[in-house]
Amino acid sequence: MEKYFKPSVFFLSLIPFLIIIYKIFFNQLGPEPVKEITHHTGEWTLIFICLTLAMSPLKRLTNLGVWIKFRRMLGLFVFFYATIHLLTYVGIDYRFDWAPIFNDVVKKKIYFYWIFSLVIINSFSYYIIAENDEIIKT
Amino acid sequence: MKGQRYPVLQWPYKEGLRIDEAMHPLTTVVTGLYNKKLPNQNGAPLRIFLPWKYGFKSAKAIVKIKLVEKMPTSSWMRASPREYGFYSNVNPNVDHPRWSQATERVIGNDIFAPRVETLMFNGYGDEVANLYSGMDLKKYF
Repeated sequence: MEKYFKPSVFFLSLIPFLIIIYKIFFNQLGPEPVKEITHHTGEWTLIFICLTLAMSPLKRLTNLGVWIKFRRMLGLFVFFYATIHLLTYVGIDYRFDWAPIFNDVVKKKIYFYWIFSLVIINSFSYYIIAENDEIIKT
Repeated sequence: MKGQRYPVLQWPYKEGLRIDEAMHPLTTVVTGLYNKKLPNQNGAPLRIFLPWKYGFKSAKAIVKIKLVEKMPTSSWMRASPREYGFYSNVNPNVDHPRWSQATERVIGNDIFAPRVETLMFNGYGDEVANLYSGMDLKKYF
């Protein structure tokens, strides 16, 4: 039974991605499709951050070690959705036109915080990929 | 109205225009939409619309119009004077404090369509620029 847990969580975590792919291909995004993709991937990034952070407290509350198995995978889904979110903004919305992007990040604090958090998510996920299971023992 | 239960703005909604702006031939009092009667959610029975202030000033469901001597404070100005001024003209040269307003996506275009440059006065400069001649529109945004 337990061996199906991880694959199930993996496929469940892919559902938001499949939803947005479906909506793109079947033209279900409404009048502002780029905004929809940006918001969808951004919201799911935040949801997966919450899910990832919930695993350790759940382990402590329930005394079940099984939660920790999901933590790294959920963390990598944070990275996955954050990357699509960033690529939507840079690639689809601004078509890799760096001048306005750079301008927004430098001049508007809110974009600075946003890019900063995405960079942190990225570096953490590289760390998680690079390290082996030792760091999730805690 | 349901939205008015939340104190995001001071209700009832207040909006202001200069008399020459309100009398401009491009200023429209809207009573319909796509050849049909204006639906409630779009601001029935009367809504005001100024194409060079697109997205702003289009007060819905107007119940009272007052002629006043002093410049009124609109609901949005009261809520955040840093972000919203009295004029609210479409102006790509003035940034919103939190984002640039230099470019826009055209509504209805697909995901591969590029952003386009936002035009001064939403492209109605020939008709309305003379209303603001000599004014610093960075100060009076």
